[in-house]
Amino acid sequence: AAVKHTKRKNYFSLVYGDEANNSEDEHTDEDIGGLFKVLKKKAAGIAEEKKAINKKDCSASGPTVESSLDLEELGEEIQDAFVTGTWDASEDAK
Amino acid sequence: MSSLQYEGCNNFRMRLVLATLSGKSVKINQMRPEEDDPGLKDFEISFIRLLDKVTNGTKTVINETGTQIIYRPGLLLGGGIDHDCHVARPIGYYLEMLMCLAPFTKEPLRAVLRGVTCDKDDPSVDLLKLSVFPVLKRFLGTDEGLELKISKRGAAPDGGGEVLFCCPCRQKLRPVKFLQPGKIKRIRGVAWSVRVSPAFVNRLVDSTRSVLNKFLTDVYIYTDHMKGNQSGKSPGFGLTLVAETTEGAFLAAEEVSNARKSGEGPSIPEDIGKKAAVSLLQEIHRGGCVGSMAQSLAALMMVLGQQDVSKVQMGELTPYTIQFLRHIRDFFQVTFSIKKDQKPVAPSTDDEEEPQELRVGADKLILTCVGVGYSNVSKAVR
Repeated sequence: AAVKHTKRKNYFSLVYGDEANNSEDEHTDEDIGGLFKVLKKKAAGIAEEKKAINKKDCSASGPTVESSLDLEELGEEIQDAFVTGTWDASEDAK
Repeated sequence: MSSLQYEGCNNFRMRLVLATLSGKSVKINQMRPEEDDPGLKDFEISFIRLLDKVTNGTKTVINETGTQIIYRPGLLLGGGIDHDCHVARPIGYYLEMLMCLAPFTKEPLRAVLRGVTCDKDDPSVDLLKLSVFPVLKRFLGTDEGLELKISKRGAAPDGGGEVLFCCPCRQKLRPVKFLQPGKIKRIRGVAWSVRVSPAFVNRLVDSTRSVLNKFLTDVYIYTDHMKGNQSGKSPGFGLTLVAETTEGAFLAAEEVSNARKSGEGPSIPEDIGKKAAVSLLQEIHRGGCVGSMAQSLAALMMVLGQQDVSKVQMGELTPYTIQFLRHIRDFFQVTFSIKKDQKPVAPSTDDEEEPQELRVGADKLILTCVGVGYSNVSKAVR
């Protein structure tokens, strides 16, 4: 089940955040010599959050993952989204 | 009186709009406290003034430095309003939020907005018309009285554009189930230019067609070159594209020239055309039944519907939509169920055992929620 979890993004906790994945956070804290905890990552996250609250308020989606693809790769990945592509098993008129 | 507290100027508009719809007051601290010019900016003041015109009895208190605002919403009135939008942000910045409010006003809204019709970062009026209107129409049940007319175009930085937005109001919205986006059957668009050579629009169209025609032959782009007093105060040009599917989903993208004095140098129409085409393909890759710009509006209308289940398929959520969903939870105590949709599979042939997944881009999500049973009490029953 753990393998499945890493593969799939949990969209619910992506949106509604902390309370959904509290249990995971405990694991990410790294212990050094059993005494100290590494807090660096968390502190950086907080600073980032502080900055984000005064960012520009706009709905544009900004750069996306797929923007790393070049035109041909992008075209190949979406070719079945057009009427000219392959249709689903359920809607294909044949 | 229940009041919500927030920090920072990000998500400013959605906070005020959700406050207005839910009737809760909201207090925002820490508005740009560390900047050279702290506090609220002119365009945010302009947005508050717009809300003031649409409502009755709204109280806004801003502290001396402008870093804190307390907003106590009034009743949504609607009717005819007239507003000069501050040119730092295009009309889309204001109109996007007006679209969220319009179905819930007392009188049908008829708003004349003046300012910049298209700029970077915010959706242009063309894009809102092409991609958000169809979504609004689904929830309203009809497009009667739904109108967006661009009577003058105005490019950044000086603006001078004018649009008319009309929207009917409803007592209740319809629950919507929209799960199959269908296949893209045609691509439409608008290429516009003001105060530049009229040949620019044709260059835009040619370059974008050179990319899009590889995917689909049904590509038609309207050209709109405005002259004289309809052309605003600054030169500019741009292109808005929309892909329409067999099931009536609209995915749109756009690109606009650099504004004069923005320090980015002049834009070339061929580049703008190509970029617009590529961003449309990226939007198609994201996919879903509603476009990325309409995600938040669709989510809001789902929540403010009758007490019934609404289901809408969307592409990957934008950061803005994620923020919007969190704010919806704060104001209306509604959380969405968000599940990954199954990929459609190709019809299996006899010799294949494994069904082939279709290449339709990124993962799609299904958002489900039960409406809060919101009804527009101020609308007069006739």
